[in-house]
Amino acid sequence: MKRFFENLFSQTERSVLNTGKKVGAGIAAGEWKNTEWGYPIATQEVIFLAKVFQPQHVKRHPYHIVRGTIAPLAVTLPLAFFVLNYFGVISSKIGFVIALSSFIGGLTIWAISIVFDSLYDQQHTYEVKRGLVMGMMMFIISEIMFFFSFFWSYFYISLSPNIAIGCVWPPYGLTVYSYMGLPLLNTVLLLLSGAILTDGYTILTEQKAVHENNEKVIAVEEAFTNLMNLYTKKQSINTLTFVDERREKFFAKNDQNAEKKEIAISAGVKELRDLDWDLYFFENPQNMEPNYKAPTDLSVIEYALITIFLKKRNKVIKTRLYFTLVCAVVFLFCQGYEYYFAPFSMNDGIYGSLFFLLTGFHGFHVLVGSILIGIITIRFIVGNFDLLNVGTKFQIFKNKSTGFACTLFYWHFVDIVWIFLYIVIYWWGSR
Amino acid sequence: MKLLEIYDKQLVEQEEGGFRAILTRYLNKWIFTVDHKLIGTMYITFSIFAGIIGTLLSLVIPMELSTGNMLEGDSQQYNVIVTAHGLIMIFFVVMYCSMPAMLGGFANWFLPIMVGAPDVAFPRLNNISLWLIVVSFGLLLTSSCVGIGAGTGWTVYPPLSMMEYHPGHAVDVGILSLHIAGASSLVGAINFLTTVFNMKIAGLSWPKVSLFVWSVVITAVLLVLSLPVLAGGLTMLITDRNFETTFFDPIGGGDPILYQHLFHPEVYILILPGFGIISIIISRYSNKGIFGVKGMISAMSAIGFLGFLVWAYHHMYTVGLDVDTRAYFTAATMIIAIPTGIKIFSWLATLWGGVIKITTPMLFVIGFLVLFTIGGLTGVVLANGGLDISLHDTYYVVAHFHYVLSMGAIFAIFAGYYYYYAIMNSNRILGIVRYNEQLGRIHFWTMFIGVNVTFFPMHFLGLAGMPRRIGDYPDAYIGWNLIASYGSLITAFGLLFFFVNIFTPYFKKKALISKKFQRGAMILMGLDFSRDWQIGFQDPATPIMEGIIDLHNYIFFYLIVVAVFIGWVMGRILWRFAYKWSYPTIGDIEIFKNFTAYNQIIHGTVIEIVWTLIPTVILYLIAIPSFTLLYAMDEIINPTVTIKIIGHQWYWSYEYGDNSSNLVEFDSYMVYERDLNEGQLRLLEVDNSMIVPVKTHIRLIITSGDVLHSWAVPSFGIKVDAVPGRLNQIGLYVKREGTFYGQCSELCGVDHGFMPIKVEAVKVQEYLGRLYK
Repeated sequence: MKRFFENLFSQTERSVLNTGKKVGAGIAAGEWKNTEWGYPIATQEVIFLAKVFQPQHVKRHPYHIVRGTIAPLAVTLPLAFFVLNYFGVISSKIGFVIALSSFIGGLTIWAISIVFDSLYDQQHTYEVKRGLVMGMMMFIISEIMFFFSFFWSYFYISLSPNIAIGCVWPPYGLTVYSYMGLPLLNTVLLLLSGAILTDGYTILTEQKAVHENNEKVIAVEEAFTNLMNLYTKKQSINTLTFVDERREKFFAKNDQNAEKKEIAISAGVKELRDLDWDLYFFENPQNMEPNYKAPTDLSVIEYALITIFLKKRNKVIKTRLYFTLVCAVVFLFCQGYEYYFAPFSMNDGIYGSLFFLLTGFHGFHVLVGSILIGIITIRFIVGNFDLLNVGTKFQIFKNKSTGFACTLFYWHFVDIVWIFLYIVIYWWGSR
Repeated sequence: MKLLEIYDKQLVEQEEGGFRAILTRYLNKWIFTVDHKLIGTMYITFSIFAGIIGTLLSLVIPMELSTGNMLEGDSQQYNVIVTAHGLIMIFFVVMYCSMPAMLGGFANWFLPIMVGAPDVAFPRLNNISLWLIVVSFGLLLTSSCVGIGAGTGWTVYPPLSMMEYHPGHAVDVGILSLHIAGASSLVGAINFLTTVFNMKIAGLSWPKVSLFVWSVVITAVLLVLSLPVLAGGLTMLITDRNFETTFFDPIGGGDPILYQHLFHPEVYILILPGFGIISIIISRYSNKGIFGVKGMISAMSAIGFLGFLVWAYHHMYTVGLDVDTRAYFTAATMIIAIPTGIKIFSWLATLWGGVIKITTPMLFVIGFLVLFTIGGLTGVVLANGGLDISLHDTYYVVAHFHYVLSMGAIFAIFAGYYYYYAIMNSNRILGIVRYNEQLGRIHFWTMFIGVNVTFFPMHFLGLAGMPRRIGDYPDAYIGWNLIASYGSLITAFGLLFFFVNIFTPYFKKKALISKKFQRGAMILMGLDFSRDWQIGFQDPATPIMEGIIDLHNYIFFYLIVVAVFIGWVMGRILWRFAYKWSYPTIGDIEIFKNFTAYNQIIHGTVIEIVWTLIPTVILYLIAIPSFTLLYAMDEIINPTVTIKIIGHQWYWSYEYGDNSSNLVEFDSYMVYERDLNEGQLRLLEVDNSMIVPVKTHIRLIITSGDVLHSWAVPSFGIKVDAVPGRLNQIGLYVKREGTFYGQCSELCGVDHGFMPIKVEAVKVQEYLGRLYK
């Protein structure tokens, strides 16, 4: 067996020498075939050990093999500088500026390259997205364990308070916040923002539901068909009469599912009413160019109509995103207000320490979450999520909204931690 | 389906010469790389590098202990070296938190291949994990050199690690380095988990997945769940140091013990990937499948799950936990012996009936089995909350965890390295390379002898009561300490063969003459076994200590039975089934006949149930007297005398408050060497000794004025931590008159080894007379 491998190895080398090709690109002509996909496919089923170090560009799997990048190093090395600089082991202002820009630059390069992998290289297949979501979930689990350690400390201290704080919880003589004041407002804000962001995400993932067998979608599709008929017949469109006609036509049919269909139709019609009709008429080629020929291909019209529909949708989603951001900022402001006027401080005892570390780390996570939502908003405005995708069972994995989904998970993690914080610190821990 | 798929665009793209092209190529290949194999190689290289530094630091420790004066009395320097050695070895070599050798190295290389994935799930995160660990290592080394260094022990217990007792920023830098290391291994753990769960090829069902992959998955789950908790504890520590929060300061309402709860070292993470590697190698070189794969998998999962429930081992039995809590931890810790036993027995059953080829990796595996069994058995001893009072923070603990880590985990790493040598180190320039078998064997035997000579005597030192982390010790302990020092030299000598072996392919054949190297000779000392404090416990003076010694002897009976049984099985396997280079005899033919039959047996329900039940029964038998002792220890019967003991840096003060009109308070300092009189004991003599009456029930109340101390007198069977902000109490009933010595048993700073305890037990009349005059 050993002999066999050695022969194999030497043969390969000999063939490389004979053909005169370089070792790194040592592809014998017969071994690899170019197919219509543009990359070579191996004809052999097993690559032996000897060939491991003569690698080829082969990809026969759905996973993403990324390229080497400077981003991790640019993020990592400044960390050492930050630590040493903070504690005065090294001190250099220009060095700090360089380190900071390297850190932020590295993160930016990293983030942008992920987006480019997804949108331009089209490397984010179903499997890759599944992996991304799994990784995010595990990261969130570890974050939960991080908060778990602080909650453990809180219960450890508060369930058996020692003599220095009067053997009571909250400490003797300390004024603490009531759970009905600002904290309640914060809770409402955060939960509301979570709900609104979820709503936005639901609307977003319904983009691909256009292709699904959804009653609402069927109704809208039917409306579009009628609209197209009207357009091809060059009749003027009166929305009100159009709707009434539809309704009458609908009632004329004595169907079993009449009520259900009525609801569905009226919902679809409502969608139609909300459409940006001015925009539609403005873009009507007949209004713009006199000698324009009406397109005979119906798909073009359909595409135009769906574009209008999506614009309407996007406006709604954008509103949701802005509102979530506003909620996050107001939350952070309220939290800052609470900190500024706090009757206790971080270093006057265990209550302040626990309060400020727990809520402080939560606030930091809110900040990170709102930065993520900001990124998502920008990506949404730029149009990263506008692509239509074929609908499937798993919404998260098969459309291009994985980033949005991960942000949503993170934001809900922040929500849930806040609920525990509110119940434990503000409510259970108040007088 | 192809078995291996390689993707390396850079190699194909860059073919032109010139400095710039070479630099780009180098950077792309080694610095910016996202290839799991290159990163794995770099991880291994890094862990070898860190291992060299850790080993060099560890050599300083026995040198100091062999003379007691190598660092010229600089105890802080000694503490810094001990701390750095522990942190480097655990965090940067073995992998507790960060995972260079096992997770970073072997798992990076082979986990994607074993699950049929083209690469890990997040290659960029893989890269950042490597550079984070490098940065973290740099910071850790810096922290040893900044200011007075971090001399806190690797556990960084407050209040010793607070700003008051460790001023300067060494500890801060060290803590942040641990944070970064934690981030690195968290990223790595998430990466491996996603790789396995997301990228496992179709048709590879979970029972078929390699045991190494299983072990990595379980380890990674433990890392994801336990590392953030550790990070939280360290965060509180750093805010306590720099922002004056009071989490661990009793004056502000905190508690130093909270840190010990949060910093629960998940020691089982250290050994689990080692189990995986050992399984693979045993299966390979005994030419058999692993016996009872499902049992192995469930045993590993059980170890992981139970390990997560047990966060207070030996180190928290003395801090003043409630007795029921101690009983719970005793039970939970002892239960872990059952799955561990299942693993050992399954490995032995795998070997049984195989055709065993004894190569270097196999030697290391056999060494692992023998020594890990010893370490595991001493672990059962340490699990007993009652018995552990005498052993906590002594050299017995040091011996135990070095048997499990230095000979368990490190042996597994060496075995894995030799086993995968050809795969990991072959390249286009050198071709297929192999390690030198002869050098490998010499390495194994010198190291095997060396570590045993180093760490086995430490059991005796621990039983005799020598506290760990002291730079100088009473003269009675010198014999075993000297032997341990020679052993560490043998180990270091053995490691040289490993370093030579790494570079084997780079030498020409002629240079490979290794015959001149010879094994280090073991130097035996003439020892006087009849003297006290040499082997076994010190003479008991209280009923509790008598109980501890009885329990130890009782447990030891079972340990000997188990050890002899496993040793017999091991010897029988090696004698009968080892493959020999000779013409086949009739016996060999019989073995071969049987081999075909044995090879079919890959699980046996009955025997697996038997070797689960028998350890359980043994543990029950051990548990009954153990719990009796534990609860007996907690009782304080109608005390007539109450003594308050306060630990300070670095002296003890005693308060006798029974006679309210005549309070007696005094401090007890050590007598330095130059002031000693004839016949007094070095490092044990104090100016004012504590006096207790014999045959009287006494209540001791122990607390501390500054950092954690531990009031320990081996003859009394008492070891209670002095915790600031807590009053720990314990009963004492001295049976006989005499003078008893003890030392502080918790690392408390520079002069930790120089605050002895001297107790004189006298008759009641004499006690009253001497005390109130």
